[in-house]
Amino acid sequence: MEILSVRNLGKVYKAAVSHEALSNINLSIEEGEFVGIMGPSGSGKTTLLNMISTIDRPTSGEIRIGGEDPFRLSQDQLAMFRRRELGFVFQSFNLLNTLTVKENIVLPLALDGIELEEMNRRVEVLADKLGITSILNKRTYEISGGQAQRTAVARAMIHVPKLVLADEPTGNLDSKSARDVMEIMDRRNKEDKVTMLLVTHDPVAASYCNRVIFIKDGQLYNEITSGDNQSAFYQKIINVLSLLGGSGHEFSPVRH
Amino acid sequence: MNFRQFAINNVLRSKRTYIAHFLSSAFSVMIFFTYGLLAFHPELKDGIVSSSGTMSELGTIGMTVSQYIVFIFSFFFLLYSVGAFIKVRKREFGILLILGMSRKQLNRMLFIENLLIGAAAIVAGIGTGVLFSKLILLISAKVLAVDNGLPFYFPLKALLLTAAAYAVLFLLIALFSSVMLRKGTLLALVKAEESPKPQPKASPWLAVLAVLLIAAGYGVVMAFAVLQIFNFLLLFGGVALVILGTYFLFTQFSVYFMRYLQKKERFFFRKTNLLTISELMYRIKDNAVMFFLVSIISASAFTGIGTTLAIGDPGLSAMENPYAYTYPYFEEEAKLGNQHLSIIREELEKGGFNYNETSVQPIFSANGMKLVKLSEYNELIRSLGYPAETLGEHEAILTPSTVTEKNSYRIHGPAYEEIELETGKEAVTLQIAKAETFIAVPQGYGEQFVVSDSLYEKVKKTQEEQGEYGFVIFHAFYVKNWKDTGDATRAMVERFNESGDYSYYLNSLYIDWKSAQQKNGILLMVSGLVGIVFFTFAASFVYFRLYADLARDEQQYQMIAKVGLSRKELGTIVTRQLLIMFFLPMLIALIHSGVAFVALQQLVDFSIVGHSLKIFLFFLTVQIVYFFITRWRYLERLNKIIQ
Repeated sequence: MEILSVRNLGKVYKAAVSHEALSNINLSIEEGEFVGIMGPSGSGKTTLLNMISTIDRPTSGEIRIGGEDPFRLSQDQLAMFRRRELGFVFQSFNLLNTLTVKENIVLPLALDGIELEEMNRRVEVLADKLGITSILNKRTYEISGGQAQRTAVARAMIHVPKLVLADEPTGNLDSKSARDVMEIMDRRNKEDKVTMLLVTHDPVAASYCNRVIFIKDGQLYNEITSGDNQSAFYQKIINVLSLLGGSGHEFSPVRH
Repeated sequence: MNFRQFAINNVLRSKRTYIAHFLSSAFSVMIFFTYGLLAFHPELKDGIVSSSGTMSELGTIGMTVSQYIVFIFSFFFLLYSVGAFIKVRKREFGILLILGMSRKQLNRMLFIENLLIGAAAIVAGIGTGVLFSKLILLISAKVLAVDNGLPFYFPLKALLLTAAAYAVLFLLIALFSSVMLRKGTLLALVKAEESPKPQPKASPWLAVLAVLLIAAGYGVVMAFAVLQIFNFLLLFGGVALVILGTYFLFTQFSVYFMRYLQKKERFFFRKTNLLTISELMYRIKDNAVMFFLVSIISASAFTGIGTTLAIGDPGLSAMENPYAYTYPYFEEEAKLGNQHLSIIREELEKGGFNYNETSVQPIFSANGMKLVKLSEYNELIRSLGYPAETLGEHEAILTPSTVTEKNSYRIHGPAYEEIELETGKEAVTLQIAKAETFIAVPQGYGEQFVVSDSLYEKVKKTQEEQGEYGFVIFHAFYVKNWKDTGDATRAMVERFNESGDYSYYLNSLYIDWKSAQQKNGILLMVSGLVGIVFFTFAASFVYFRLYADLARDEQQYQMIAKVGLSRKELGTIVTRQLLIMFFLPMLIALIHSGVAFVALQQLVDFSIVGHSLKIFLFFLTVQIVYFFITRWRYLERLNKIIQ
């Protein structure tokens, strides 16, 4: 089943000098897929993600998530849609520091008025899978970056959304924590069939995906699919990135 | 965790974000409550009513008006404080919306938060108010010169009024805070911190207009005072011009001025000027409305307190009546009159006072002209220390009986050159030789003419022939140090009362002064409280501004520090900016109220320079202390971050 379909998407920023951030993007994600989007700075990958996230509007084209066009929804319907169908993971975690880890995780459920027992049950299961059971009652300033991002991943998945969107989830983490987070996401994808879309600079993070789409200057550039071997896929990603050119300096150093 | 718990946790766990907002809310509740406490005090009301009806009315009106003013400014203040508060938390709201919070839920959360803070502030404000009410009552009894002090009472009425008024206020604020968030897209909310500010714009014409408006406003106010055109529309017009001008001064002129500095490259690119000016530009445009509010609020506070201090000056009572005692009696009651007069003389001598006693008997001509005998008049003015006057048969001196008349004679001279006087049988035309500019005839009202003794006697005789009796004789006692006659006066009143006569025949300057003081005590306290509240509000505006910008500043300075900014340089930049934020509005307020004081000086005889300086010094000192505390705290915070 097609979860996300993007048709002829375009985005123009209107200003004194208008700037076309994206043009004619077509994209489709099936249920259970783990897709990465890569590209040099300014290529438009974050713009694309913002529009799929429904926090920015396209100037042309169409986005459908689970068959529905979120931009046709009213403000309240859109809030419901975000709350139930989408999950977000950000580079800067974006946890609320007034809440504990557990409260942060259940926030989408609380907003939706889910029963307390149901909340607790889901948190227990998910926290166990993500290895954050021991920190559930801590406040956000008491936990490490890796733990914070795992909490964010838990928050993005607690309500079993159709699509989880991740914007540079490893950007603020050291390599060990980055690996942990990616492995957790990978496992959720494989075990629970969570559909995920990941925007990243990091070839290591991208190598966890089933498929990586490359964008350059606001247009689709290339698309490669993973085989069975992650390190072979990693090598393929590196190759495409060097072909993309002009961005060679941006590659993160190879992590081991 | 259900939704309500979430909202409550949000407040309880981020105390630091809320504490400033909470404290200022509680503070304004407390002040309002204190007002109510005094306004509804049973004894205070009676105490003032007994001395004079109009006075108590004035006091009550003053109280009510300032209560409204405190309330209105509370509203704006809280609105502003909530605005600053929301600005700090935009990102948080963005995250919540992305996570699927509906606008309705967001509004509900803000609503619950505001209500929580409001309820807590009301409880805390009234709580501290009740605790301190004993103290407040003690102090105000002293200021108000109510002899036996004010007993503590349980201020149910004030309590209910405060609670009700602020409940409504916080509800309104809660509604407004939802409205404030309505505009702006989600992306703008999330990126609130990243999005750069647009370059401020200003029009040179409006900048010039600002200066012109203020100058015109000053001119109108001065015209009001110097030419004594007592038209209140004129006064309000002047004040309105100044207010409008001040608004443009901050929103237009300031930006224009900064632009000018920016264009002077040699100056702009020198050392930390680059940072100071560009930061200031960002701040001034942002803060223009705040500066404007603070200036106007402070200026009204200064002027109000200054005026009240001037009203409380003993010079004001003496301005209307130079005599320590005036005792009027009818000729047919001469016996009783002489008894009373000897009591006055005895008590004055007992007190060791030097006094000049004179008497005057003004009469009315057939056509209602009030006449004073020249020889009596000369006695009067000699007792006051002026040289005697001489008059021809057909001349008269116009002598004022009120301050308004006196001022009008001083500025415009007499309104006419001659008067027609009917002596009964014939009409005489008198030339006005001069219009005197000081009050000499006691307890006068209306126009009074000093005429030669012979004319006076002629008129008196014809009037008596026609059966017109009952011209009152006034005995006036001039005592130089009348302010010390308290004991003597009390003794006189007591002896008058013992003999069962009407002591109110005796007019004592000391008693007038004291009762004026009582009235002005209320005014003074009211305006003092209003002034302090306004000033605190004003200072808190600055604080909130800094607080709202702190996150951004931290980032900014952290960045600049990496480029290489020493602590000392950071200190210089911050100090300069804070100096402007704290003292620019204050300076404008000082200039505005300075002009008001110059205008006020035109209306009174005694000098009010001392009062004005006292107020300026007081508020300046408070502001300086406040500045140093803020600077210290702010720098410490920044230094910690830039390491």
